[in-house]
Amino acid sequence: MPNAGGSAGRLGDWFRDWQLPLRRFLARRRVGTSADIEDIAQEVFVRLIQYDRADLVDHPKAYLFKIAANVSAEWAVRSSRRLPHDSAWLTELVDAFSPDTEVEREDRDERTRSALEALPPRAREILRLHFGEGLTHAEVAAALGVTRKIVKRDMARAYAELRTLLDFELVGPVERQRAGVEP
Amino acid sequence: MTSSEPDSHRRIAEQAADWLLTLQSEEMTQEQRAELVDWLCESPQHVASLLRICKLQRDLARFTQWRQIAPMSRATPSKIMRLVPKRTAPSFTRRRWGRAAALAASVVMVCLAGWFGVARLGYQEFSTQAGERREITLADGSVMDLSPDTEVAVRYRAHERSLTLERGDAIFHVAKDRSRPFIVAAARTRVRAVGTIFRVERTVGHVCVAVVEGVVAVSEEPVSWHRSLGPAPPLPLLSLAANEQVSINVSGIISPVHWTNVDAAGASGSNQLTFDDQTVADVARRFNSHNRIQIEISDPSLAARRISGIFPPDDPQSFVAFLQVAADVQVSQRDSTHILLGPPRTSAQSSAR
Repeated sequence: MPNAGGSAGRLGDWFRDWQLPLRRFLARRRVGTSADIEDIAQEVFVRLIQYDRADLVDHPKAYLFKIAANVSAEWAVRSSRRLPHDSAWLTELVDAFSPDTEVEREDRDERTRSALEALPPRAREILRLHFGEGLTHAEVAAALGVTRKIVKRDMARAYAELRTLLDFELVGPVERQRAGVEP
Repeated sequence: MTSSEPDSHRRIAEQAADWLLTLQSEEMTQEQRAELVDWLCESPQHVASLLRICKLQRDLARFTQWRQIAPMSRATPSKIMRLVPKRTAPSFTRRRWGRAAALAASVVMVCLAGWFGVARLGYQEFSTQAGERREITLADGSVMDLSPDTEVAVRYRAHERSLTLERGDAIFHVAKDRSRPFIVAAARTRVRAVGTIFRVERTVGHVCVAVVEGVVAVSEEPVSWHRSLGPAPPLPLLSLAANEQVSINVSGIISPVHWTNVDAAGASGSNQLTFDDQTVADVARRFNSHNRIQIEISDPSLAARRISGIFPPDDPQSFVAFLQVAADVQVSQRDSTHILLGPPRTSAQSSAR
């Protein structure tokens, strides 16, 4: 199935490729209820390791995308038949894939903003230049007088830091809620 | 299942982020792909972390409050800033030759890109005449409000949306598309945005840029650059946030960034002329470009006087009335299309309405 020419995806295309069909699918099926990103990841993982390693290595993006899309799709169908178990994660994931309401956006922006403010200034500046001003990695590098490699490294660290901040803010309330709701 | 120690959580997130960026920015080698697969197949936590980082990236791309995030202090513009780099005397050093070579290479690349891109160029021109106002929706959903006597050339390419303000004044409501920056050129000034609303006005000797919403980056093409060489190399950027405005003159000197009320103009559908500390002569010129009724000013000291205010563009009388109150001017109507503003004649105030 994978063609030998396998153009490995232009700048930034991967994420778009990955999420667009997923978003369309989720939008179509009207997944009101939710699953957990951990559970989806678990399922993706299980399928991933059943594939032939050589195939995966040839086209990791394609496989990852296909598997993740399938799993989310199946998850949507399954969870519509079962008692919804509460989880902010897929709700958020689904939200991220559908036009969100004013309130949802404000809420998400607020969390993002407070997390951004907790970042070291340099990390925050890199994210601001890239996302806020639309500079490419190369332009960010030029603006800060460092190499692209350093920008990429610092960007990865900034993501990780931000993710950690957001996750630890999230984990508490979600866990509590779940304990209360679970039958 | 969700309980990972902060440390390992952090470490995995960092690896995931690194992989995501690698996937997005580079042609991966066989070795890297194998490494990625091994990493993913090592633990479901790794898969989960990659999914989470994807979501984070998406949230950052959609974050609407970037302008509230303060730039790192180094970027604060000084009062007067020279965008054109100072011409330095020293002879060609090795570094300069390197730069020249790189420049030449990039020119070749640009020419090639231009060459191959020709067939797909979406090139269009839009213009308005005096008294005419147009709203134009572009292919990507961006909207331009053209003021009277304005001309804009639009060139959409795969990797950038490039517009040229040939003359006049326009407000751009930019549809978000991170992979294709929206760049408006006016004289040598470049204004670059992703998803935002801003206004560019081009008059003789000046380009004025004002931001209604979001952030734009303003840069300047070097004076010595010639268009036939292709796009100019990037120059120091100045970033403008909502409600900020700069005016840039021919020699690249920009006036201080200061607050203005473009917001009011933008929000009310641009059906207002907004002036912030501008000369009466400038304001009159703007009215004249919008209307058949022409305002003439015969008093130099009145012409040079600075005013601020918001006016309906199709109602020069309101501006004249404003001047009658603010400055003691003598108003006379020459004919049906000419209003003459003269020096105060303390006694009589002819009623010319």
